[in-house]
Amino acid sequence: MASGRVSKVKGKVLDTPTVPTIGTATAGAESASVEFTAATKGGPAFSYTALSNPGSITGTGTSSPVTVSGLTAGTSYTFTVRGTNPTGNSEYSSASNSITALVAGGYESIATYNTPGSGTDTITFSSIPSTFKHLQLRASVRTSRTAGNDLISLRFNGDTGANYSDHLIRGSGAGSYGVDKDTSSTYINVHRASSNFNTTNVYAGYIIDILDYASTSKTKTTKAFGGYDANGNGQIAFNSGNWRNSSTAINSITIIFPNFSTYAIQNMHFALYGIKG
Amino acid sequence: MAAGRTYEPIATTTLNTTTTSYTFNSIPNTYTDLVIIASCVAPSGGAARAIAVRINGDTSQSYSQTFLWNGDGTLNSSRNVNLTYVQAGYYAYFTGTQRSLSQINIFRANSNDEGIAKTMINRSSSVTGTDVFVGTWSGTTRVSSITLITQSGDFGSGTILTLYGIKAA
Repeated sequence: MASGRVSKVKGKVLDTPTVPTIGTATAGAESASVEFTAATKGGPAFSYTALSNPGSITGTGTSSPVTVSGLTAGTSYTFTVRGTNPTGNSEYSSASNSITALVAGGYESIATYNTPGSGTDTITFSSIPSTFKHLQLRASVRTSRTAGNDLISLRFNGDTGANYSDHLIRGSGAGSYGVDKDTSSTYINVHRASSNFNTTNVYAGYIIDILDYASTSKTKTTKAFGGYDANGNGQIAFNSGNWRNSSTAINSITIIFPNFSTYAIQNMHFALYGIKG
Repeated sequence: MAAGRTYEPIATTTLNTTTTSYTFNSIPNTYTDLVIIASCVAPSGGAARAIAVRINGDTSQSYSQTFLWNGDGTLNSSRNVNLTYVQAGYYAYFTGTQRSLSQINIFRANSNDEGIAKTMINRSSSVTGTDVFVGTWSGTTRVSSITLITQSGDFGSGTILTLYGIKAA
């Protein structure tokens, strides 16, 4: 309800705002964007409040549109808007069109690791929550090796047994391609590059999906693709892997570089994400 | 602990006319990686062709790529140096109900990683083949715009291009 009160701002009597005109409501991820047109008569509104029905959930802003957050995905809502200034509130507008709030994106950052200029040859993400359906590891990798092949590999839960296997297809350009296979390995080879990654400022990129990682009844499958290109030297690969443990959820991931004794890479970046199902 | 939702749509467009190129401008500096999903059709009567990527309007020979593809039941691999783009779908796109789908991933795109070249890993699928690419743009500034181009012809009306950002914790 409008208060009907008036107040003075800088010596002028301030009327309560007049009712704004409702516009279009648009569904967002557990939210809605509510458009309106400010009234041209009455006192100026210093802010606007959008009110949901059902739920009486509000969002506030100083201009159109106003975002209302905290809605329940799958629930239908309409919205009304009112203006406010120090004197009081306008009446609420008429109701908007009905929207159904969308499911929020289920892709969340869990942890990030940036390597220093030198250090050990393993990187571990530990205490991984079991609240996601799948995991995705995005890796940006460069080594200081100047001879030999580079590998990037994975272990889970600290298991160093011969419980891993993988298949890989790779292309090296100019009609050169090949395959690799590992059985009863002590890690999953994401990429066994036929040359080293040591090219100034060029980083290999990988996207590694770890499927159904929290299952206690399935072995754990990975899929990955990525590589590097240094304007005349490079390789692209895609890979599938398996950890033959069906009874334990993955709670830690160790990234290892089996061909390195140490690395002296610069500024590698590993980011672990969870995907909700 | 998870740090909250982080795979966010930045911009999307559905082309309503044939278009030679499309640019995502004013990309926020807040994302670690960028992802583009391109669902492409060709203009009526158009032949198959390729979609490719340029960064920050750079049309110089600052790009290179290595790729692997199966277009006719045979595995192949090629490399290109000193390019003016990185490809994201060699087998291109089609008319009618057939589309090609490309996913473009650009790593470490924001100003935290200025000073390193930008790596792209791209993949595409269509009824005539599948491809995976790794490419590098040797520029080292943050990614503020991405231009999608065709190597011959146009994007057809109905092509859908969506840009996403991913924030690392």
